[in-house]
Amino acid sequence: MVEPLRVVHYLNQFFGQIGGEEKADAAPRLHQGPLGPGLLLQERLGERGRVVATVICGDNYAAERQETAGEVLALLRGLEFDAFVAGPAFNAGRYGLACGSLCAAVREARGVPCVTGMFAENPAVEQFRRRAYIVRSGSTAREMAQAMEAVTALLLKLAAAPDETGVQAGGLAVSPEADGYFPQGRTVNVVGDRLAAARAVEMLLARVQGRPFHTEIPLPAPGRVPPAPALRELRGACLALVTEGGLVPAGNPDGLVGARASSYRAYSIAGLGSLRAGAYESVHRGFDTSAVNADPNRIVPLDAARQLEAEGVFGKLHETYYVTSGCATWIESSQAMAAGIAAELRRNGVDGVILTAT
Amino acid sequence: MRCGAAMARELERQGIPTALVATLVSTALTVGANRIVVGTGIQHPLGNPKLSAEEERRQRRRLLECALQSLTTDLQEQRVFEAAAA
Repeated sequence: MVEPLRVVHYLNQFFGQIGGEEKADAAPRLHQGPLGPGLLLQERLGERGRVVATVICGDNYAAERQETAGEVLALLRGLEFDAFVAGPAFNAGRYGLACGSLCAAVREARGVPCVTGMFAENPAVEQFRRRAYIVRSGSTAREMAQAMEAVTALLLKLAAAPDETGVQAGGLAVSPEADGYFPQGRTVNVVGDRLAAARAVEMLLARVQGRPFHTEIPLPAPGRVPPAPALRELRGACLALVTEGGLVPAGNPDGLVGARASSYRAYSIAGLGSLRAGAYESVHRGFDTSAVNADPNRIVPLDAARQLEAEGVFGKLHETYYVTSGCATWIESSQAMAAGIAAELRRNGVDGVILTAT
Repeated sequence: MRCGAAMARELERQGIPTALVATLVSTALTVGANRIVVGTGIQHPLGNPKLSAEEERRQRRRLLECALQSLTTDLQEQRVFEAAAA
């Protein structure tokens, strides 16, 4: 007989039966045994597990304080447990952030399987799906039963795997498709039953014959966005130069990485008429940089931009150019960097951007 | 390249018109850039070491003019802009 799994459950003030919005500032507390949705969790676990404790914390408290995860870990310090469940949080934003960050923190600190559940559009999904198992749920607590069923099933599978990340010989014990959680962006080697060539030909045939098929390498496609309104006129416009070509001052003084970048750099071009060879270099690791090192204007076209500016074709050039390395860089990182740059551009009254890519 | 297209997409999403000068047009379209200006090469998007210095400068200027044109063009959907030939 396998020992029952000792499970700790996290709930917000509402599901934890402390109160409503007026108790959203409640600090984390520990309750012995299951509570609220934890009773359902206990029922699903049956004899395979036991909800030994419930952590309850107010939504505002958890969402507003970075240190909440540390406080919850401190509460759990003396407690022995084998698995952690949070929520499910459905489409609740603050609750989702708490569930996601606690699953990530408990998994990292205690090395036990941690599972939560959320609606696809909960912002915490994007934030934590790489670090936590987040099962797809409906948008409201009306779908508690199905959500808890999926959470429990995944938790038991992870607990039975030799590693809390679900990794076992030959691949993963669990998969986003089979177990209904949001993909974590990991690449895992598995041994297929047929050679890649046979699978590829089969996919190709399915495609030309109009039959359904599943790619083995899905590429992220973030989807279209409506075009930004055009500039009404150029003569008064302030424009900025941005590049993903990795062009930095010679010697790379601020240590921009050449691949998988998650941050950008900003360099002044005030008073410069062009970018001088030798004063700049590209640290991008995804293309032969000799041509842009020989003439950096080939990737950050300052010389031509200054000419057009001097002729009054457009108003003025923003005095800073922004750079990162677009080599094996995550779409999410790219968007985050662009959001950071956009904030700087807006502060500086920039109207439009010329962004160069390799 | 994918990174640049994703950055252009985000800047556009935030309402800042952005001309993406790039050579891999199909990737730019797939990832969701809106104003795509066809560059002169992956290793030198705005230049060409094979041209004379004078020709190269003229070409770079034409590419920037094309980028400026894309910024002042009202769009309903993605569009690929090509600089006039020399």
